[in-house]
Amino acid sequence: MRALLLAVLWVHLASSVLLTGAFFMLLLAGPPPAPAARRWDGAIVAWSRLLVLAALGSGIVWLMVRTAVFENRPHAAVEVRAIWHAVLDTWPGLVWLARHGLLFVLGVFLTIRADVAERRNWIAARGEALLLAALALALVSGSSHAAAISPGVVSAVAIDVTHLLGTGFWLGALIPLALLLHLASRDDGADSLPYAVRAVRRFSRAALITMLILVGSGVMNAIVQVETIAGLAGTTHGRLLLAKLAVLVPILVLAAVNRTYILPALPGSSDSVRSPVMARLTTFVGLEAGLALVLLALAAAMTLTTPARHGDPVWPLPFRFSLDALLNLSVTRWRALVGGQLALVGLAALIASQLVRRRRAPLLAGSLALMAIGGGVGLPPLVVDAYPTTYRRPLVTYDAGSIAAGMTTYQEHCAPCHGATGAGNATPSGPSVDLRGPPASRRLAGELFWLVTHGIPTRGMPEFGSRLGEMQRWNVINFIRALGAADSARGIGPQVEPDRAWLVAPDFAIAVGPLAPGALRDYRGQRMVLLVLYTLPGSRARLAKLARSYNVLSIIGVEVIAVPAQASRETINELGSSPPVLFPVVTDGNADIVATYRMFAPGPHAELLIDRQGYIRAIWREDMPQAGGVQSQVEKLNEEKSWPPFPDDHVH
Amino acid sequence: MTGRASARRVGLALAASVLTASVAAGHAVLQRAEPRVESTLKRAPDEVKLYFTERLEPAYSSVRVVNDRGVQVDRRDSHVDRSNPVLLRATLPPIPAGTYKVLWRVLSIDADVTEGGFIFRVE
Repeated sequence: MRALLLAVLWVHLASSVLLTGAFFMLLLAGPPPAPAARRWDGAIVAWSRLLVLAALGSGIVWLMVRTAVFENRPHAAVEVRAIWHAVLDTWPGLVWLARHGLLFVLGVFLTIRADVAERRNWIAARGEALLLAALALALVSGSSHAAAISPGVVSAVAIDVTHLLGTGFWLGALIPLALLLHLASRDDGADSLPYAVRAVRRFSRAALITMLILVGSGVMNAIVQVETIAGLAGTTHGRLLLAKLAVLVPILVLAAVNRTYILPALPGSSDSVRSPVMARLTTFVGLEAGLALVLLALAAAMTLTTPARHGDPVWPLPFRFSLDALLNLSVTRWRALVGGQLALVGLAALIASQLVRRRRAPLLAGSLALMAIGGGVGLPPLVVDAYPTTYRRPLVTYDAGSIAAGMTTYQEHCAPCHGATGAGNATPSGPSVDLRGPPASRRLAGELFWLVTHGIPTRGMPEFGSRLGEMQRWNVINFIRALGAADSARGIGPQVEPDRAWLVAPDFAIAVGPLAPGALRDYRGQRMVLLVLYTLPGSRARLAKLARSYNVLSIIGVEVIAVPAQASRETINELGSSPPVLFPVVTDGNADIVATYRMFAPGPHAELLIDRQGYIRAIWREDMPQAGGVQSQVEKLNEEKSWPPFPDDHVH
Repeated sequence: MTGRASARRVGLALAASVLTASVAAGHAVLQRAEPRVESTLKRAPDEVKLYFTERLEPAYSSVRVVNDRGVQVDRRDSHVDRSNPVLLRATLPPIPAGTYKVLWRVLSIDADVTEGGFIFRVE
């Protein structure tokens, strides 16, 4: 039944595109001078009336189905009140109302028998119809995937509108053009031949520009909605886009053949003798139009699928390319470098072959050979194993709760082979992999998930898919990620290195007494955080000092969050009342926070400075900060001019 | 006439049910939740907050919390936050220890409906 829904959407989209293209083609061809051309003009207008009916009818069915989906009640599809609610109380409903209002006005306008004998009246009538049709088509973007982008909705919608209008002006005009060419190829339409030749030449010029706009906006749309190669190759949305491109290629080839070989062979615009070239052009344009309808069906299917950037890709290949493979061996680095240079020279030669007129064929062959050799030399060192889950998004966020849970599972199931610290142990099948550094620490989270789930039988690693739940496996992966991060974090000390933010601070809940809990990430974009892991009585003097300087720290943009190693009902009372402790002291969930952050900063007392973006920038491990030590590091952070994006909630 | 009209309505409703059966392909994806997915809490939360990847339509976006017997335990006040349209929230009265399921169903502004659920435990 999904096919039926797709059919309704396809009819609606195709009608809207064809309406725009029909009036664009009429205006491009100009007022028809000959009887046959006037018949074509009249036929296009008559077909447009039917297209308006098709667009309105399919739009209404679409709204009924959508209402039932919104309400989660099949009967809602036939309840006027429910439909009205869906139209008036939702943004997609209001967009639907505006679009169908425009289509309705267009339908009424087309049924008025206006006198268009005068040139200016004809242009005004067709121009107004084009305006209404184009507006209705452009408004499709108002409730499209592009409209849901945040931030950047304006540019995303602008790109989408450009793409839609480009589709209307180019692909939508193909059928009316094919009809005109067909008419001019027949005996009873011979008087329209000069008109048709002029029209097709104008269309060819306009189509070249429109096609460039269409491809450009399509690429930008893909960057926004698909984002990655994994999304393109591994999701339904991405694969539909690939299918669209596969259909677009023959359309472009046909358009190029028409423009390069057939158009120059057409009779002159003053010639009224029919030519066999005209029949061939008709066939080719008709083929283009047929493929355009297939393209629109694929576009309609794409709107029904989750955009690739939100999908969970299933990687189809047993390998992928990774620059990480070059980190270890200088031989492979050189090989990749030489291969890359050869491919670049080949690419330059390929571009040159398209610009020169002499010896084009040997230059082209040489460039292709260079690119092939470059690829053959340079790509193999970049190949690493890949699995269906390689690009899968973790189910759980990278937070202290997940890391601590993963630590527990790891100690029970993984530590016997990989060691308590992840450094690796001797096993019956040889030494196990050190999880703290490359290549393990550079593997994608989805790859680790596959290896944990299915094991590595050749190296004696058992599978855990049947022993651990999916959440447990993701927790272990978050812990392995934290192991790698902690190993790298040894280079981070009490001095902030300006503009080097890379160590993500795992999120955690900040529960203080009976107050509603917050989260570390709530401070992102707002304040820096000095995270203090403390143990009494050793930390008492430092906490008293922090309590006294809390006002100053607050003024320079720092929140202090204190986490005792062990929490009890008396946690806050234990700190005493003089000086008063006004910063949050976590009273719940301490064990997870302490277990996680002690991976970065072991010891009874440690302090970590987290910047406004959510990255750990300075760590005081054993030695407590000297007077003014925190302030001076905070000032360094305040002086930074460019900030990295907020870290992703999931590891990758 | 009434019978025929009624039959027509039922027919349309059946057609609609068939049509809607497979339209779950959606867009707004749950980005994070408070309480966290599959988390175990020592203290019962007083609110459930769900953050999605896209802006939500308040008219058709809701969340409910049910206990292990399937009884709804939230205050039935789920709503999209006015100042943050990607945040769906519902408040909870004091709830005893146990396992709870959070069930959500949201409409994003590109007219896609998504639904899902997860559990959390209170010790």
